Amino acid sequence: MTERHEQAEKFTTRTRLNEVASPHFWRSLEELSQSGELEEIVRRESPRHAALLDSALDRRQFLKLMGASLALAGLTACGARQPVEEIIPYARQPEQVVLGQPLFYATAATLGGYAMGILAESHEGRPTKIEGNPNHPASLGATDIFAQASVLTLYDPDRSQTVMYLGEIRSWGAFLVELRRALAKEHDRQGACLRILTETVTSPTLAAQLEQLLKDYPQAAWHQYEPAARDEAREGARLAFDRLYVVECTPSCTGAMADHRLPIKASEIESFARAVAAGLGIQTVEQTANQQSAIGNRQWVAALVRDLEQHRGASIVIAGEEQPPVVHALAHAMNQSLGNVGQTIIYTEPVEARPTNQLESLRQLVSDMDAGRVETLVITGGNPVYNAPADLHFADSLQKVGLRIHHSLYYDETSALCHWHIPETHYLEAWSDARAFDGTVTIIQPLIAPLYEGKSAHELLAAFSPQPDRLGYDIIREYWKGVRSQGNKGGAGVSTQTSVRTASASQSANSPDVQTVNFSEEFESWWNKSLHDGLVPDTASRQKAVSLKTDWLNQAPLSSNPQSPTPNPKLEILFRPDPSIYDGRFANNGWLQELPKPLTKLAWDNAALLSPQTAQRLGLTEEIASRGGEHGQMSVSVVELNYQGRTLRAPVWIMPGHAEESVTVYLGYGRERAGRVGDGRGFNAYLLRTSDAPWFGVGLEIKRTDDSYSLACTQAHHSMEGRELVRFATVDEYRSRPDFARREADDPGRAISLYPDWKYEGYAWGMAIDTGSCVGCNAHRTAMKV
Amino acid sequence: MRRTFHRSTNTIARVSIFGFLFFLAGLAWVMITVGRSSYVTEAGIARRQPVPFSHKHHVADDGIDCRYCHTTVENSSFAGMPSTQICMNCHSQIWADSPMLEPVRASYRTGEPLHWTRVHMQWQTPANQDEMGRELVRSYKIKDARSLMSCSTCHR
Ligand code: SF4
Repeated sequence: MTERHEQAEKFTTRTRLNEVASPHFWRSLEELSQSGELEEIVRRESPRHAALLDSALDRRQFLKLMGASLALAGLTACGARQPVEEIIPYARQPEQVVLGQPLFYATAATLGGYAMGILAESHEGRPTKIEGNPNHPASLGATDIFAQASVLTLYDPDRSQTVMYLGEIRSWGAFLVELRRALAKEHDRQGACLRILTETVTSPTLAAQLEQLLKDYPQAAWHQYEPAARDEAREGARLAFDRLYVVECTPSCTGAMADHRLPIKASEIESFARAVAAGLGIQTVEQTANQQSAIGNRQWVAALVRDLEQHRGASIVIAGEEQPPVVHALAHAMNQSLGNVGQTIIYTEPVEARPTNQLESLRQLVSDMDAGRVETLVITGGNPVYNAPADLHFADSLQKVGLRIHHSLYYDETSALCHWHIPETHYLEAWSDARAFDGTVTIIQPLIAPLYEGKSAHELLAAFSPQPDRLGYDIIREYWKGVRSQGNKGGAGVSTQTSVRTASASQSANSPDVQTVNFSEEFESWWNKSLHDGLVPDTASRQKAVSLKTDWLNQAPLSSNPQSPTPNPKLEILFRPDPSIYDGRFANNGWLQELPKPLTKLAWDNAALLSPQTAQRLGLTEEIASRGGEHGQMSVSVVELNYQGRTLRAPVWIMPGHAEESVTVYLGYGRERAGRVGDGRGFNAYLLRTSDAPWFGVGLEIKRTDDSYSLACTQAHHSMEGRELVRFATVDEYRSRPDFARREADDPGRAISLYPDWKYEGYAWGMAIDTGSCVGCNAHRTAMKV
Repeated sequence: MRRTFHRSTNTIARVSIFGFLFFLAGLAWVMITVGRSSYVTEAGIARRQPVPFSHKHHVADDGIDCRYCHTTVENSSFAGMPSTQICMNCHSQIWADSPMLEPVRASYRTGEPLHWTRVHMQWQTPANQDEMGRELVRSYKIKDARSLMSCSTCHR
């Protein structure tokens, strides 16, 4: 708090700032400056109001309309008859269904390819709610906002519903005919002009299908691209360790939980890591003088090194996913020298089916397309037209491809530029499988038949095989049957099961029939157990012994050129996936859009984040919108971001705790074909993102414009109006008035009511959050919308 | 001094002020009575059903337990409507050729469910059911509604 306090004190655009003397807790810069504006916003801002999906209707109008219909409802309740309703029982009641009581099925939700085990609640065959699967390593009973909100996506009427050809409705059969024709051509040249573009694949079955396809068409290629890697390490550290140090540029939930947090520029993190590594006695490339000066905080480093050394084997150094390879290498080296490997860190075989440098993979694809080497391109999942790096000009290259097929949940930006669009099934509608971060396989079972004419990726790829009409269920089962009967492909754990099978096989060696029966019995029980548990036993990757290459340092030269000793006149730009709508794929999910993002508390929009000091230097402001009648709006300056010759206009957000002279922009907004909810909200930061600097780069220029923009922000909700939630006093004050904390609490100023007090019999429901262990993941808020 | 209003104005004012209260009360009474009347609730009106089904015949005459058809009454907020399968358990043997039961047999053959018309409209959310349960305990002076009441205490 003191650090934020210091930061805010520098923020002198508010007049009363300098008068703040005693410790004072505050939640927004306006509250800190007590300019009176905050009270205004709180008064105007009713914290409970309906989310408005339709922008044509403002909230006031909505309330008017609602008021009218409520009044009407009151009238009709007296006079109107009940409508005639039907009861439609089952013809044959399914087993286990108790009407009115939900059933739970174990399955998995994926993000970035990685599975999180869930238990999906189903009411009379309709999935309604997602819970965590306590037995699954990636869930342990918990879920995240994306899993919670996925139910809404399932029922989203904006999802694409039919096979389309150039925007017109076609049948799956018509698509198969055209695909056959293209494949016949490819067959003759061994697939030389066939390309498949997927997102990250961990599904063993899908991987096997792709490998088979590459065997059938040896000259074809499989590319993978996804704009954001997943941040896995986020929450774990806090739970397992006593102290958490975070060095970061953009304030994050992890940073907010840290005991010690140091905001520095993203490009300085490498030199910081080198300094810590050097402190730990790891020989690193000699540091240049200016690098050392870049590390303004020697004491910080020294304290950190001391703490790490005192906790050998009980600490962990984690590099952010967005950091360059060299920082990751340094983190590995530090963990090794601290003796953490095998204690707090284990290395495993990669979980992904085919680990690829995805940017490289996409670049290769683009150059093939440009050279006219691609005639048939199948994009399954993903939205590269929207989210590929700007310098690759993916959309232009794409149009040089003769036959473009896009398979996705929505008819999106990429679909619009493709010939064929195949609707994708939601994960609650289709059979599949996927691995968790530790390799554990979950067989994904559907809870409902596809609502539209969706096909799963498995069914799409089956169209390339001699059996184009195979169902997802058969594909998955056949793959696992193959694995179980061979006992060598499915990775770890299958071996033990195989020995059982071998034993039974040898017993009945004379009669192959008995053997088949035994196998299929064993397989069925294995299959049912895997489905029931939500994970396939013993599929977690085995721990792998690793050692650092002796020459790792030579392979990891200074990645960025060292900063010049004078402060760089140009700013740094950082790209981050949006906390709520991720890389943009959830843009049409109203629950996620309505969710105030951690720390900024913005909803429905993205902004360019910068520190108060930088904002002041650039003369940027944010103010509570004084007029206009909307609630919880902040009027902020709009800037022109100029980066590598590309320009973008964005509203700014002043974020205490942000590193100086850096600007963070969130990806995922500015969609054009997301659907009714997500279209045209925010700005598209992908337009500035280049393949050489996907996460941060130097050389951003900012120009102020005279425009301002209204951002929806809930930070000032539930203001305590001076009655502090956290009460404090100095020792002297405490001595003279030991009950200072209780004084306020004893007299809450009870409201007078005509009604007698409510007496609680039995349970009194309430919700309590241990703010000490809350990490601000927002999951409960999303769950409450269900 | 010249009177602006006639003496009777006082009376008229009193009558009309108090009268209005009575009028409001009367109006409320009329609305409530109309709301509860069988004209609005449609009590006693026989709905068209696909099959002429009689609870009296099945329960009183045949002695079938309620739970045989309303299978989930003891463990869910919804008592459950019997599936066609349950009807056919008996009616594949008795009245197996009755033309009146043809819709049931058709449903069983085709898997297309029967469409009954709802008679009692009070669809209770679980919270309301709690409240209703408490009300029952109060008015019937029963300690535990679940264990002491038979279905026919209320469903007559
Ligand atoms: S209380 Fe905190 S940690 Fe728990 S779900 Fe809510 S935001 Fe996440």
